Amino acid sequence: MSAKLSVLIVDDNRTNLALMDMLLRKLPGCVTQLQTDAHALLAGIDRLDYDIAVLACRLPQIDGITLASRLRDEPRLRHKPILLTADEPNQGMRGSAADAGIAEVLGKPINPVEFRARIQGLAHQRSPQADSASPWDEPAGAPPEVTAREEEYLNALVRVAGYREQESPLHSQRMARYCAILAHNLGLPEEFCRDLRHAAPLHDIGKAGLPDALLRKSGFLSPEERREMEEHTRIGHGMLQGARSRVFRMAAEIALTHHERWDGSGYPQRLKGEKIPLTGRIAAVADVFDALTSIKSYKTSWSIANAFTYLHDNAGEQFDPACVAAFESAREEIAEVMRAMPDPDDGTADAA
Amino acid sequence: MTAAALTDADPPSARPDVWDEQRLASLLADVGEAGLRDILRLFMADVPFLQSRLAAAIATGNEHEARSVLGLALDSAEALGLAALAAAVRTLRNDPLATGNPDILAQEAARIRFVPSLKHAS
Repeated sequence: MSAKLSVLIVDDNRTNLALMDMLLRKLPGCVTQLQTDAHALLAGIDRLDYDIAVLACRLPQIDGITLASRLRDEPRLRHKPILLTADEPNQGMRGSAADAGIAEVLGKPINPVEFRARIQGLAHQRSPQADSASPWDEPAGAPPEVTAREEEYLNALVRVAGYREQESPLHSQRMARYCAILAHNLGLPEEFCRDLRHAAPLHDIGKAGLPDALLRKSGFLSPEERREMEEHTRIGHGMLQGARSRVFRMAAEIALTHHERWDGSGYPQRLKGEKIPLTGRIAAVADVFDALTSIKSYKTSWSIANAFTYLHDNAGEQFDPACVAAFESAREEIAEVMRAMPDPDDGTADAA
Repeated sequence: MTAAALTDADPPSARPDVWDEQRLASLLADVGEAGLRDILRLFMADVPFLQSRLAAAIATGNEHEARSVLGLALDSAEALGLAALAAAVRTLRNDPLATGNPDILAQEAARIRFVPSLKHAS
């Protein structure tokens, strides 16, 4: 493997180029080639070399999918992974992109965390040692004692969040494991999966900012109470945002977005599709799955089969279909987590 | 944290809708204040060219060109979390020639000040 990761970025928008350039330069050993003119790029294709290409879908003279095909026509570049950035990518576009050999499609505006994770994932794929630690993983950046202290703070916060919640104390831990498994099955880098496992348990920390009367109310919530309850997403984000720690920043993003729905009918921002950060889309699947398979004050636990059916039936509406598919493919691992961390049995579990 | 305008003379914009605060916070965390300023300067330097291209497109009734320019502006606005500019451009894109305001980009750009006043930016 070469010492550097060379990323070609083609976009006619200098703002996007500069932003992606800055994000990638944070990865150790990553160098970028920036190009605004697709025709000029193709004119020099004989001399062109890179490890990963990031192409804008909308380009003035030739669209990104056609450009990808042209690049892959060149034998030297045929197996180099390509990531397409697109405004509101739909299924048709994704199909065309897949046909052109494009590995990933990312919605604009790009989410910095997701963008770097995708590039790291593609860098892993290009590496013959894909299962080992990659030099393209963002470095921990902190000595072990600082990381250990950060974990202590995180665990303390998780306990604070759990103290006031009515959830099973194991909900956050199981949900975090589900998130990490799902992310792993999406092909995301190990470092991202590790961060996610640490960040996800804080998804409901905003509930600590809600009044006791609301949190402990039994029975249905009034519309006004429901709106107030939904504020836990913004409250949690407010509690966690602004940290320098990558894990805390990820936790802030999850806290804000884990109740968004793929079809745009979620809350608090009614984000739609890939406008929802990947971390939030992953957490939504994991959170709902654990809620369904757990015993609640208002319901019995569902069987794993019924819970997977629910996820499957709601893929494309409530959930990101790719996340559901990745979760479904880890059925055995999920079942293992459930077996390892069961809720106390009150005899109401769904026997199906 | 002291408020620092991108341009020297004018006071920072007090209108809260100029920025998408969540996006701004994310960018500050990921590329830092200096990095964000650099990208914003790049965009602001492009605005006069986008503006003149848009004005020419509207004057000649070239809807394709107008949409193309507005697409670029929207792309940048969303990338930088310039919420008010993005909203204005989205509205204009629905019918760029009939309702197009040739000065819209300059007007919205004039409202943009880089105000890292969010607590988390310190």
